[in-house]
Parts: sequence; structure tokens; C-alpha cells
Amino acid sequence: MAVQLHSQPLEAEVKKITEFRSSLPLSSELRLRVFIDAPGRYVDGQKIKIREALGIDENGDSLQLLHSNWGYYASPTSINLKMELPARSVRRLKQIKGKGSVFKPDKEETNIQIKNFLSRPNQNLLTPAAHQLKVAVVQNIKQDSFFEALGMAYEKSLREAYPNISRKELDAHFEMIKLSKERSMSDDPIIHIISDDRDGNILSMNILDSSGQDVVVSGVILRCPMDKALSKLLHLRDQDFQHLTLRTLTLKDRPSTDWSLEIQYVDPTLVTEYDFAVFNIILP
Amino acid sequence: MKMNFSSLLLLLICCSTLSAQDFSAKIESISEFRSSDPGETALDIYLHYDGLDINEYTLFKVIPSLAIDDLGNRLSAAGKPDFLRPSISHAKLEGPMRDASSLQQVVMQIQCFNPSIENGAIVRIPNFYDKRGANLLAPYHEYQDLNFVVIDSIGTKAEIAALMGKDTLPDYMGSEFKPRPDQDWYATYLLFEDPEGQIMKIDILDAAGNPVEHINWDRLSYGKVVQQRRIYFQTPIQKDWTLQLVLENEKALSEQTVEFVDVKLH
Repeated sequence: MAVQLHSQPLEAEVKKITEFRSSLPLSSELRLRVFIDAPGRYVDGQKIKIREALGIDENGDSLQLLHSNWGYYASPTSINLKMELPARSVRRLKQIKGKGSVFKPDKEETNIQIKNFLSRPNQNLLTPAAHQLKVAVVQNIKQDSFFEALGMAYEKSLREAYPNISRKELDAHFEMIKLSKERSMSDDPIIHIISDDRDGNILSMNILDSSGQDVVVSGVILRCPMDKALSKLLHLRDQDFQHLTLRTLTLKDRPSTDWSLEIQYVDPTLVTEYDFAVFNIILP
Repeated sequence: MKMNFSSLLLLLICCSTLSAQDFSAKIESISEFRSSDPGETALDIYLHYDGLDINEYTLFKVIPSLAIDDLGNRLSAAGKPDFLRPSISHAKLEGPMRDASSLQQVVMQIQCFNPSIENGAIVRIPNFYDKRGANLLAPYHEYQDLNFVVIDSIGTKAEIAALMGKDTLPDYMGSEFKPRPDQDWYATYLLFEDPEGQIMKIDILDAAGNPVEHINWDRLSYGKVVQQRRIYFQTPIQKDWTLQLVLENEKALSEQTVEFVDVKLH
């Protein structure tokens, strides 16, 4: 990725700390609301994301970053970090250090509009790959086989991450798959769109009719590792999808070939990377 | 992180049972929320119940009466206990101190609402569409004050008021009773007086006893005097459909007190 590296650090301050401590391992996490200020002048549409973060507790044990979102529309920007949970006996973290990305767009909105996207199913619509984003509308899915493979890939990834996970907890995390499947089996008009966006640069997707009106009523978004079985079932012509984000979108009307797909995204060529660090975080 | 809940001792220290429905409880999971903002910490103890023939309408309310951590600190109950579905039924306590590693003792009262046709908390009214305009609960002595009326989506405000035994209806109800221009949807109004919130669930069942899928429910409350629900169906209403109501009824309630000791915190 063509990012600019910068030696000047981001200014970061932890504003709120919450811990979710559960007997169910998947539900346990440390959440930090961090206010981050980027160097330089604030630009409309500016966004900041923590890409990497490693926490060290008072015993020297490390805590990995689980998730962070793009923060925007303010300076300083409020960002939520989800990290691994320290032991109950730990009272403070010595530090959290990492890297943050600052996106300063050169125009207010950054988006791609793909016309007649339904006429090109099962292939990457962004060819040549626009900023490493891959998006495909998938058709002719064999529903039962696809959702069975999706469930297996999802369960495998959870079991690898949480070897002691219980069946009940696994089932609780399959709700999105069930919902997506129910939508697919219903009589409502739906579209499946998959994307490969491991850096989380896709901010939103809209489907617009010929008059520019959004036709999506509601959607289910599911993230899952892509495996060979899934890729085969999706009949993808571009085999390079490594991660799967499945959007099952319920529509107002039956799909029409003159519809457009609008993707709002962060252009990685306009991203600058900075270091950040916060110290002595007292746990609640 | 692994916790063996079978090591927990569950004692039934008394059974103040209101009916003959005994059940036992064990801890399913524990979730603790800790925050740097004061007053936000909480501990939720989720329970699993055995020994009851429950149905999709069964609810539990868990009222913590005593909780002491291993440092000897007493934890108060947090929030207002409410009746919840078994899968999310839990006791809510204020959060323990970080230094605490277990709860020495937790005592809680568990109330179970287990409605059935036999105990009168589920009422089924067959062919309700033929009885529209009449108080459907009039034959049920304990519920007759609820004044539950079904109407079509036509009628003047005065006609609707008369059906409800009222001189008039609030202004904001008047414009609602019109046929929909969209012929794909079929609407029916359920009007009822329910000042104590006694009606817990309303379903429409088809001839085979399966819930009829509806497109939408609108629920409108006007103080506690008259409530209105409007249901749209994808097909015209069938005369063999049944109205099913789940209603609060003491005969469906049972209560037990349970105690857990040495509950590990995470």
C-alpha cells in the first residue's frame, strides 16, 4: 500500500475505559475511547484509524488490538479501540503503542460509481483493482450449500481463535448467518454483494436506481474468512478474494440492470501513517 | 477463563411457590461491565432453568436479595427486574470491586410466568373475525374489563367510539380508521383498554394453529385508557383464523428462592 510515513506522532488521550468480563471468552474485551488529533490542518472528510496497537500491562503481559473503526467528523477524533482483556488482577496498563492512519481527502467525498453492475456478476467489479478493493455481486448461489460452507468457515475461524469456545456461544454468533440465509430464502428481492477489504477501507455501499434513489431497504453484513469451498460456490472468476464480507441487501424493487453501485471508500494513496502512544492507563 | 459451573452448589433454601410448578436454576454465564465512568459498573448473572415444561411465552424475573463478595462486601441489586425470556433472564447486581475474585454467596428470588390454556393465561378466540365489534373478552370473567374489540379498517370516529363504549375518542385516533389505498395489504384494527398492561402478547393463528405472518404491527397507546394495534396481512383475513392473547394471570406464576455459593468472577 502506498502510504506516506511520518515521524510526527499522533496526539492521543484515553477518555473512557470499559471492560466486558465474561465467562464466555468471545464476549470479553477491553474498550478504550481515545481522542486522537492529527498533525496539520483539519480537512473536511478527514478520517483517522488505529491500524496497529499493542498494550503492555503492569506484569509485562501484552494485549493485542481486536478491532478499531474509522473515526471522523471532528478534531480531535473519537475512536473506539477493542483490545484483549487483561487479567482481573491487573490494575493498570503501562502503555499502548501503535500506528494510526490519517486520511485527508482531496475532495469532500471519495466514491466510485459502477453503472450497470448487475450485468457483470461473479467478478471483481473494480478491475483494474481500484486501490486494492475487490467487490463482486454474486448470483446463482446454491443457497443451502453456500450457507453450510459459510457456517463451517466461520466456525473454523472461531475455534482457531477461541479453542475453548462452547457450542452455545458458537450458535449465538451464527445469528447473522441465519438472518442472511432467511433473507435469501424469502420472497423479498435481495442482492448478495461480497467484498474483500481486509483494511476496512470500504465505508459504505449504496445501490441507486436510474434516478439516483437508494433502493436498499435493509442489509445484513457478515465478515468471514474466505476459503476454497466458498470461493468455488460463489463461482468467482477472480480467485483473489481472501477475506469475505457478505452483504445481503433487501431491496424495494426487483433488481434492474440500469442500477448503479456506489462505494464510498478511503483512498489509501491519500493516507499518512503516524506513530502514537499512551501511557499509564488505570483500569476501572 | 474456563469455569466449571457444576462445582457450584445450588441450594433451594425455601420454596414460596404460588403454584405447583417447581423448577431449578443454575448459572449459565456471568458478564461484568466495568467502566471508568462512575456508576456504570454492573454484574449480570444469566441463569438456565430445568424442570419446567416451558413454551415460547414463558418468562422469568430474577430479583437478587443478597450478594456478598469474597472480601465481605455486599453488592446491591441494580436496575428494576423485569420478566424476560429464559435465554436472556438474569440477575443484575452492582459491579464488584476489582480486588474481588468471587462471590461468596448470592441469593435470588426467581419468578416464573408460564402461561398455558389450562391456567387461563393463554386465551384463544376462534373465528374472531365473525365477532368483530363485540368485546371478545366478555366471556372470560377475569379479563372482561379489558374490553378487547376487533374492527375492520373502516368506520367513523363516532362508530369506533361507540364500539368501545366511549362518548368520543382522542383527536389523534380519528384519522386512522380509513381503508388503505394499497390493495396488497389487508388491515385490521385491534382496540382494547389495558390500563395495567395486562396483555403481554397478541398473535393471530391460522386454521392449523400456526402464527399468521403479518407485514407490520403499529402499536399506538393513548395514555392507559385505549390502546390500538393495527395489523396488516398479505392475504385477506380468513374466518377460520384464531386470535391468541397471552395475559397476566396469577395462576401462571410460580416463585422460588435459590442460593449460589463460590461464584467465580472473571
